[in-house]
Amino acid sequence: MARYIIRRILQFIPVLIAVALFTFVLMRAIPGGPFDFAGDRSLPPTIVANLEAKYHLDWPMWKQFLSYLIGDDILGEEGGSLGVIRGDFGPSLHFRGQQVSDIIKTTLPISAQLGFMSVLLAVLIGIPLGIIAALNQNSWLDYTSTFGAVFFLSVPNMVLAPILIWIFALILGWFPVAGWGAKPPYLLGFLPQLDQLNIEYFKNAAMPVFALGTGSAAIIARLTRASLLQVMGEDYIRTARAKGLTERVVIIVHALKNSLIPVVTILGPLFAALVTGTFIVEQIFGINGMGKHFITSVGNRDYQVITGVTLIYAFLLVIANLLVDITYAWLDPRIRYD
Amino acid sequence: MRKRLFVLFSVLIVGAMLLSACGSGAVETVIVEKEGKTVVETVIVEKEAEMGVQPVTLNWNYGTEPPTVDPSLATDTTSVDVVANLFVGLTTFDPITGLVIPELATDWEVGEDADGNQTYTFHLRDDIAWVNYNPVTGETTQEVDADGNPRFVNAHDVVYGAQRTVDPNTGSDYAYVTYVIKNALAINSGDEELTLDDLGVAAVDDFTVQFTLEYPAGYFPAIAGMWIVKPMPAWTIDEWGDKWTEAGLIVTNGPYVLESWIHGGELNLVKNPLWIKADDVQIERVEGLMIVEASTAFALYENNELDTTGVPLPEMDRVKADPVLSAEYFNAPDVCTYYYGFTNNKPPFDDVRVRKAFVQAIDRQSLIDNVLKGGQIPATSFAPDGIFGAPPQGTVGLPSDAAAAKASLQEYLDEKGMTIDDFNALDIVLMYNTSEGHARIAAAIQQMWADTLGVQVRVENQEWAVYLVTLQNDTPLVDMPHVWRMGWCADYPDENNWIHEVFNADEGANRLRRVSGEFDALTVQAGREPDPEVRKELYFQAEKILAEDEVAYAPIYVYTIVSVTKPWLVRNYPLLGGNDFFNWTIDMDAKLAAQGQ
Amino acid sequence: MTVADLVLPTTKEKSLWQKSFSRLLRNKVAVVSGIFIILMILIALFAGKLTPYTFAEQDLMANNSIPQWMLFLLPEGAENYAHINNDYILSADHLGRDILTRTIYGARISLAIAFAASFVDLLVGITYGMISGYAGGRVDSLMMRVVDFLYAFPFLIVVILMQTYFKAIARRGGGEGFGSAIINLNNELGGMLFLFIAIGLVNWLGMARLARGQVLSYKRMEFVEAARAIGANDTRIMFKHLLPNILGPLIVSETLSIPTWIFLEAFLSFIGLGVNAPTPSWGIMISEGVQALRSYPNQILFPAIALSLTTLAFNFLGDGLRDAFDPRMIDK
Repeated sequence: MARYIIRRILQFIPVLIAVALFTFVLMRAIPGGPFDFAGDRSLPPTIVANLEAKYHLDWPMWKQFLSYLIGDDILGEEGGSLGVIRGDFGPSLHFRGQQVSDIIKTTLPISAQLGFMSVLLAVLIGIPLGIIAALNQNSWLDYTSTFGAVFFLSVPNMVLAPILIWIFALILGWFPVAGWGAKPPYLLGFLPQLDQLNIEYFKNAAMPVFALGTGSAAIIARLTRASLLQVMGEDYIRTARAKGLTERVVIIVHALKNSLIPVVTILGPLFAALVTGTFIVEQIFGINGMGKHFITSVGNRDYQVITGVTLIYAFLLVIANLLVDITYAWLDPRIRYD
Repeated sequence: MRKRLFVLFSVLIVGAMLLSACGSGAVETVIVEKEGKTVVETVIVEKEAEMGVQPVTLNWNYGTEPPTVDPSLATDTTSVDVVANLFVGLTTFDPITGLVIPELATDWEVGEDADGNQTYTFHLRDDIAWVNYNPVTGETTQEVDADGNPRFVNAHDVVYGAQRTVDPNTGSDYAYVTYVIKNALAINSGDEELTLDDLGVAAVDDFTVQFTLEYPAGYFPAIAGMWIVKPMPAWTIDEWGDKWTEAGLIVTNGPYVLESWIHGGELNLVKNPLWIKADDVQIERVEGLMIVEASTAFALYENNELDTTGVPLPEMDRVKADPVLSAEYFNAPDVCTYYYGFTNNKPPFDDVRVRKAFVQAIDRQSLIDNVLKGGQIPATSFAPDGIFGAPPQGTVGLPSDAAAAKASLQEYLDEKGMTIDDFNALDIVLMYNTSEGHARIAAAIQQMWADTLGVQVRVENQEWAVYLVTLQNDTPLVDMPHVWRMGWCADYPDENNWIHEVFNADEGANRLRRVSGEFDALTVQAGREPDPEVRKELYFQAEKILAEDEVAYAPIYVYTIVSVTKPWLVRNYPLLGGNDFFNWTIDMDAKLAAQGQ
Repeated sequence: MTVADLVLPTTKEKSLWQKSFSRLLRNKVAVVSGIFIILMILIALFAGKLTPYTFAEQDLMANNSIPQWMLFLLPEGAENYAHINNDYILSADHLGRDILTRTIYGARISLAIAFAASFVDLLVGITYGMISGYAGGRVDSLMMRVVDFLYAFPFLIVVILMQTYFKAIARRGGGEGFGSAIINLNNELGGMLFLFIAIGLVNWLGMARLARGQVLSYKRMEFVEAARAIGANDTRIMFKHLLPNILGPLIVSETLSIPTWIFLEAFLSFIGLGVNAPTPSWGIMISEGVQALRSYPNQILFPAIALSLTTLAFNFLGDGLRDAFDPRMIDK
């Protein structure tokens, strides 16, 4: 297993480089550059030339890419870039004077906190709900929980969030309308400071986490149900019952572990779906997270931000998928990695 | 078992958070010099017990993270708003009349230099201090130079600011506005023979600065007040480089100082106690959020967490009918115009009758009443009130007239021997940049053209950056849409910035793809003309030609600023120069009472 | 069940399908859902005949009108600002366009995207995932790294790229032949054709990973070894033996994904990359309706209900399919 993990980690590198390269190239393929316009107006060519020179956009593409990856000093050029390998993601082209790494350090922890709590909610609600539905297949319990799950599934974030604000913040006044309880600097770089982790923090978090988590909870519930039903029909379950084990033991010890494989599988892409989900939720709740940068930096043609943010996202994704694969092996001893 | 593990895992996390001992102080970031390097440190600050009095606070929404607050680099309204409250300029604009008034400069004279170039000589006041706010102590102190003398804004700072903006290495977007200054264009283009000192700005003495212009420009005092030529602190910029605008490092001279700036989250200003008119500044704190979603901002407003905000379009009906909200509602004119441009050399829009038909078929008032709902002003010419030289809207240009429109199109069709179906077969395209608002207006106007003229227009939208590339002058005609949406807002309040820079076929953007003619000669002449009355007459003629004779574009409406304001906030709506928080007032007792404190 | 049952498909197969189908018909909820979906499709196809207005027909003066009976849906104080107009059965939107009409026409885009994306998902995703999981080793590694790469890929950039380039081509269009037929189809769909393609290209990844996970779990089971012992080749094993066993969660996951596709279209409308005006889709009606939520909640209600019912139907149908085609339950 250890060799497998090391091999996987080594495989990260070409994937990440490929992601960086493609993002780099494709962004520059879209018509319009970061400095072609300021607000409503197109800028005269002189100005555009000045700006492109300042940010080395007039270098050939391969040089820009290498400078981005390994830094200017290794390349033998004038310039301040240290390269991604040394943690320098370059300056933002739209937010002058800000470094992309600073933008990430400020916003990623908030998105991470929001995402983590949502996934936690989804799992804590979804799995038990799915189990109940599967064990009571085709009963009213089953239909009710399916109905509930599908209801939350079919209400998109962008509708749920304003409704939540309307009911719980404006009418009932239980939660604040917008905002997030944690501000930089963060504890250990990504956790809220201990004095910020108070009731206000959770009040701010309640609605966004709910809006993000319920859709995922529904998916997890449905998948758990389907998968558990699948597994319950397996021969080895029949064997376990025949051996005389109680139903409870049969389910918890034998059935559940294997049925969770599809659930664990989607936790990876769930993470991916959270990106578009967080954008909407963050925008509606006024949360300073990383989600917005995925969208706005494309519109702003801020090459450095979109490449940096995509790289971070890719990195987290490959790690998540690796963890999922490792969890497979733990959940189902029949799975072997050669 | 997996479930158990999960529960255990969560308990551990929560437990770890709760079990650790908490410090009693707040954690702050401070920028510190250590061994010659800049280091950002985290410091735990013991805060003193808060006194019971709350400072007079304005809760404001910037709507988005300002890309910068560096005066040389600012381009969008959010950045300009902040810059207007942090930095002074030679001149500024009167919030009510919109006229140029002195700020840093006490007065100025127009003259001529030895070579016959027009000069402007500004005399400066000597008592505006450069200050720095210390986030750790919360104190604002005046900057001192190496010899211990307190720093005041002087002519050298003005020169430095202008030079910095023109310097190609700075990468200033708006530098093109300075091209009226001698040698600015050449230097900014990277001319090897010139240095920054060749720029037509010099300090005659410590408190007198002289600008030498490329050509006579009556509108120069307005430009002198723009953020890009504000005085800037050379020593701070040299020391901190790109980071000089961060809270704690930034050195400013205006009514407010930058207290804190969490990028993407909030930007807070506090009153500058060393400001020359500090006694007149009633609002002590401006807490600025960055809520992009208009409906959320409106919800915050209804919850008394914002003191003023815009009204989202779908809520307009409800706001105007609600007894409380309708009293708080106000719309003020803005200096921006919304128009549809024609590609004047693309058939069938190369014929003036077609253009006339399309312009007059737009029922502006219906659009404003039913779609926009914000009390916008119908526009028949380009520049709105408040722009020097602009004819009042409605005096020049073509009014909405369905019958005239139909007749005009029919005349065209008859002459060409076409039916309306032949016309529609040409696949007329209307394009706009992606936005909910533009989509509505386009849908409404598309229907107006269909109902009045029988024309089927196809509507397309493009993302903003792509859109601007599409509309460039070198785009092949086949890719250009026939009609396209645009807006223009004032950089400085003069027609030169409007019909000349936007529409002039030789010197302006000329997206309309017109052929140069009488209009273009007029605007060039008006730009150079020293007599204001003559200039006004020239601009009047020019607007008339473009809107009535050539019908080169379709002016639609003048923007308004639509907002709701809480009764305890007294604010204004300056046409130019950004939101002036230092002129607003808040009745803090009323505000706290409404918030239930 | 004997080994022979597993590897002698021909005679069993017909009755297998028939048996499964009759099982499906016994599941009342699934049947109702199936009928609903078929009804939806018919309504979408024959929209022109069913709707009182056309979807683009607008009357600016009637903007935001509601029929009298709908007043109770609006918040307090609505009598002060709502225009009452009984000509619009389900109320009108901000430009005076009939919502009933637009919801019906909107079904076209939403159903089209659901089917197109599901099709690509099932076809490409399951095949890819099964091959990857079954092959194992280096092939699996490589295939999964490609999936990782595609996952991280900034989808939005691809969408904008496709939109710009294909719209440019579309503008030059207006000729004859296959090219212009595609472009006309694109205009019919409100400019979404290339978007559907982009969505299809990127969204089979989840299904691939899911299928792979299932195959990893099942490939070492006895019946697979038995089939191999008999001499079945890999393709046969994968599609005749493994697939029926793993299909359950895959089908359910697919039905779960359907709202995701529709939401993706809504999301793109939200950020401005969706259908061209005036073509309606549930996505754009919902994103427009959200802005008016506090003043005119009726505008979002009907497309949202349509979306929920459709999602419910697909889910129950998917459940029914899963139950019906479960090989273990054939004999029950």
